[in-house]
Amino acid sequence: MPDSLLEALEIIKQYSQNDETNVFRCGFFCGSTPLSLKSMVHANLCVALKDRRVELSEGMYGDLLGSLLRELTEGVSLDCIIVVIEWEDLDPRLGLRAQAGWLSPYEDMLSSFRSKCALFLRYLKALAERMPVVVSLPSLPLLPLHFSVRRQANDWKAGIKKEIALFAMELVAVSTIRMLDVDILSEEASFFDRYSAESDLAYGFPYTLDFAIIFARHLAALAVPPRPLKGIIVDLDDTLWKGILGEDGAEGVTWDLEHGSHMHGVFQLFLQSLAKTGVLIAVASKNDPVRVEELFKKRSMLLERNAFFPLMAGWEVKSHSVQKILLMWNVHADAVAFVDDSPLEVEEVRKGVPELRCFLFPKQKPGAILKLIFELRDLFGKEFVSHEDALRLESIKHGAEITEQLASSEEGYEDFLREIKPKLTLFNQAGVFDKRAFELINKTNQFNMNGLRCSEHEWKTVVERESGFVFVASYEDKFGPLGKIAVIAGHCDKKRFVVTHWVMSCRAFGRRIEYCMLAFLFKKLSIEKVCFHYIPTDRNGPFKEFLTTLECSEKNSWDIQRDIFMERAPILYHDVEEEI
Amino acid sequence: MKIKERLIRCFAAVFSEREEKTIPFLEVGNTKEWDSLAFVMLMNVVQQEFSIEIPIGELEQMNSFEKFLQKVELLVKEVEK
Repeated sequence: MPDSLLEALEIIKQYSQNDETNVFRCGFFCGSTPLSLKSMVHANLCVALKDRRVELSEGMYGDLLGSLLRELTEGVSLDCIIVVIEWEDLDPRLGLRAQAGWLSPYEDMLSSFRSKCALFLRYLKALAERMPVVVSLPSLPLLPLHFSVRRQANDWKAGIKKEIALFAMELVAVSTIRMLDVDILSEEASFFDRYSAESDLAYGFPYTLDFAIIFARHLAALAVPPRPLKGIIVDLDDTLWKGILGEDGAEGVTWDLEHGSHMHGVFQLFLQSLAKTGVLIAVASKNDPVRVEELFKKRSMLLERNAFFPLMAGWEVKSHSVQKILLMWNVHADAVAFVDDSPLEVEEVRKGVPELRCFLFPKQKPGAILKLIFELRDLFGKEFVSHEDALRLESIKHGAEITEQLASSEEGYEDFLREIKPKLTLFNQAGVFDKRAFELINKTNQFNMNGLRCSEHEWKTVVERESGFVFVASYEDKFGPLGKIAVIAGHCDKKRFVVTHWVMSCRAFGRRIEYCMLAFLFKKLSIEKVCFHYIPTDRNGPFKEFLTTLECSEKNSWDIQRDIFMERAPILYHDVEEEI
Repeated sequence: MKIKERLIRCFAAVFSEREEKTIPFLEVGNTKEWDSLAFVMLMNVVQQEFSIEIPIGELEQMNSFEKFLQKVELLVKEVEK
């Protein structure tokens, strides 16, 4: 991410060469001159979106509300809109440039402030129906317009804060609005480091450059949120608890206030809270596995034994245990964090699995542990927790069983697949925006036909396309449900179906769901041919393997005929249902 | 990197359409995109790059690359003192 304006401008220049057919269009609206803030946001978006071209449009200076109204009535649909609201946008008397605030009646300012909030809310909600909206409420200091000393709260300022809080509550209730929590800015810039009176008066740009850099980073990260990590691998001794199990015994390790090990307990609870949102948790520990299991039986820990899988306790090199865990999860290392109290182990794992995010657990330093927890929360934080998140761990455990069966014998695997009684439900979602489908499209890497990511706006265009089809597949078997695990989208063209998007969660591998989906499409749409918009990526090897089993290749333009598919597809045991 | 080279880099970032070799010859009069916003942007980039503060009142006189260079060299020297 850019650390200076010069760097930002150079990034914008570099990325402006990107493909003009793949553009991310974003509106940037603020009441002041956008200047460096806009450039910094632009550069951050370029870095976040890598190979896409970013175009930023802006509103009119000094008329934020009018700009939003114009966007509503005349604007084209954008991939996202960023709206930065400051005090003077809510009442010009609250800004330094207007001199009227110093003598205005407080009640009058409060009432005008209230009506302006209501108007902004109306416009923002209307815009949010069309596109994702990022909103930031005032981040700059409020002028000392009230007669009281600043340390003493007064009814006017309390009234303004109340209106802002009510405004914020309305905004966060809208699912397509992402509001910046301005409290986070205090970690990096104090109030007076944010505002430049010189720049505000001379150019109408109220921010210091240092603050604009910080502010822009947060705004861009809300517009294009980084994908949350999927799993965390932790050590046991002096990490999950205080003490060495091999030396102190099951009764000697602790995680409470009484033994000065409270933060180990807090870390356990934090992991438990992550588990509840579908984050995978595993243990990689140099320990006697029997003693570890005994401890879990004997002692009641705050992190439940069934919250993590797998538990790799033994004496092998730690990076090897980590690699085995990644294999069992079927998750790429760059989506996983590793936490250990030993600097040596952290270094060994970092070298062995370079893409993993490695953290040293700062034992005996409660403040530093808390800081680590803050950092991890940001890496794992989600916008919403889906039904599938709750199913993830169980499905991975069962997936491991399936992989084991697959490795044992082909015949045994056929029996196994039949016995698990697989059931696939396909939801016809043409014209429907399904948050889970959108999530799958944007986070699946391995079984992903072309790696194309979509903004909400682009995905809505796909699902609303005329003659288009979108099917979301939900799976369950005797081990339980996996939830919605796959999405296929495309359009019919005479007797062929052109697949433009196809993704399937790695949790669902090895169950022949992909063949089943294709068989369903041939039948449902009465088509003779399916054409794949296949593009190889660094990660989509599993999709290529699937095409190879059907002998579908570049030679035949990644097409497959119905009869050839029927001949080459494996036996399918699924009970298939369609829901509209 | 010398001050002149660093300043060329700043100008090239703001006037992104201009070829680097033409930058030492840029003046307000021969650069249509050198408007008031570009002035402010230049000032911000240069101030941050050289850790200097250019007095707002002097900005109007800095109407060419050459004048910018003279001012920056002077301010950098002052900071080093």
